[in-house]
Amino acid sequence: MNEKDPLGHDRADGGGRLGLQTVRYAVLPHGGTREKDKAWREAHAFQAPLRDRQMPVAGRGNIDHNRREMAGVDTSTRACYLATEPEQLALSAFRRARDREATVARFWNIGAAAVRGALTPPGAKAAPRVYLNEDRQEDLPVDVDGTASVSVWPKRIVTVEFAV
Amino acid sequence: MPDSGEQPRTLHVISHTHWDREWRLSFQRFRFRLVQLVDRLMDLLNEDLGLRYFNMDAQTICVDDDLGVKPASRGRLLSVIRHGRILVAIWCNQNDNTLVSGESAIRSLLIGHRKAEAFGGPTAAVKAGCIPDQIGNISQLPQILRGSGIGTAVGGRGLDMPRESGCMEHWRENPGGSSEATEAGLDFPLGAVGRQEGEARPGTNGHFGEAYDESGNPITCHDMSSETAPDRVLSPTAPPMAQLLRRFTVQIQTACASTSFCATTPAPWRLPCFAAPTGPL
Repeated sequence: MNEKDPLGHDRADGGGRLGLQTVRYAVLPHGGTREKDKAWREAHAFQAPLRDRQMPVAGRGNIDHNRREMAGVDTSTRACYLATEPEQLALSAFRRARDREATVARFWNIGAAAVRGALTPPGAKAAPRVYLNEDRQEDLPVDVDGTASVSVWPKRIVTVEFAV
Repeated sequence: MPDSGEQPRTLHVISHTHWDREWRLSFQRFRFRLVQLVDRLMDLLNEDLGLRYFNMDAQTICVDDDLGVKPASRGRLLSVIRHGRILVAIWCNQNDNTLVSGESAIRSLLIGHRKAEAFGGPTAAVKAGCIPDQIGNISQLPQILRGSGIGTAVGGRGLDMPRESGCMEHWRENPGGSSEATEAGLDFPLGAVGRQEGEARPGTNGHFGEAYDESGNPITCHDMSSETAPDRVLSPTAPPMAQLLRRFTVQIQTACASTSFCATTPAPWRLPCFAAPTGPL
């Protein structure tokens, strides 16, 4: 009996999974360019679909739902970790920094024109731009609403660290 | 060395393996061979001090896979890595860029650099993008390598430089506009090398030598042992070098990839320029 991973699949021995594999493909006919028809958005939704997960709200303990509602506590099962504009900025990674208490978000400009991106990480105190290896570059300007802005050339990858 | 009166040039020899962790054989079957390769390599490095560098296909995972079988060898192997004779950076593992996301390439670079540092090996000595067998190269690879402080790369499969340009080197233009990209340092030189799978055949890639002759730069050749123990590694004292010495007037220097390419890559305006295809990251 093979060892199981947390999702119940057979754990591999470090190599690939031998045997029958099932792969899903999607074909999206469109008449214009990839950018104009926003085919990238469909592809992204297919490859990395948004999934809901109910999570406990940090710092609120295990008070049950009704008691929290009666107490006027926010019982939302959704939380905004990062808001971005415009939509040409495609998010390719959002995770903890490897060696410090910070979150790293990576975008790339999927469009054909340069854009001014607005990134709003709730509660972030600073937003330094970082290299792909997570060495820090310059701090991005952050306005009073906590929105960091950055210019992104077409097809350029941008990585930003959020210290909370 | 032949007495031709010709000024000797420097021949940079890059000894390396190309290691598919799992391909036509399963991971464990290839791992069996990898352990044999490392054992043989350690003997060679011990016997031949002229063999100054051996590049482990720029994959730190080869070290992990070997030490997973032979944990008692850790001290001995890491000692050689710390002395820079076995080079393991820059990747964690060579992945097929077109099958995984661009983020996987970034993570592999990130983990590879940190692992190499943890092993105590020099990362600066291997700051050349090693992309030997990626079947196809994604459009943003130059930008990804640049983002990790890597300004040049060498590749094999999928480049077909001799057919496209008659030159083994070219300047890869990133998507997004050449002038902007150049200003931002996103374009970079990329050299192609011929490959002889399974055995080391020094000097048999004539086109490679000619390309460097025309540009007036030193010659580079590579010596590869793919999927097998390196029993014919090139070094100034190894027998296969004699064949090469009859063809060129050279001084031989074993080299790591970045040394060689810093010394041999022509200025960008002398290279043909190719635009990378646009597409998803």
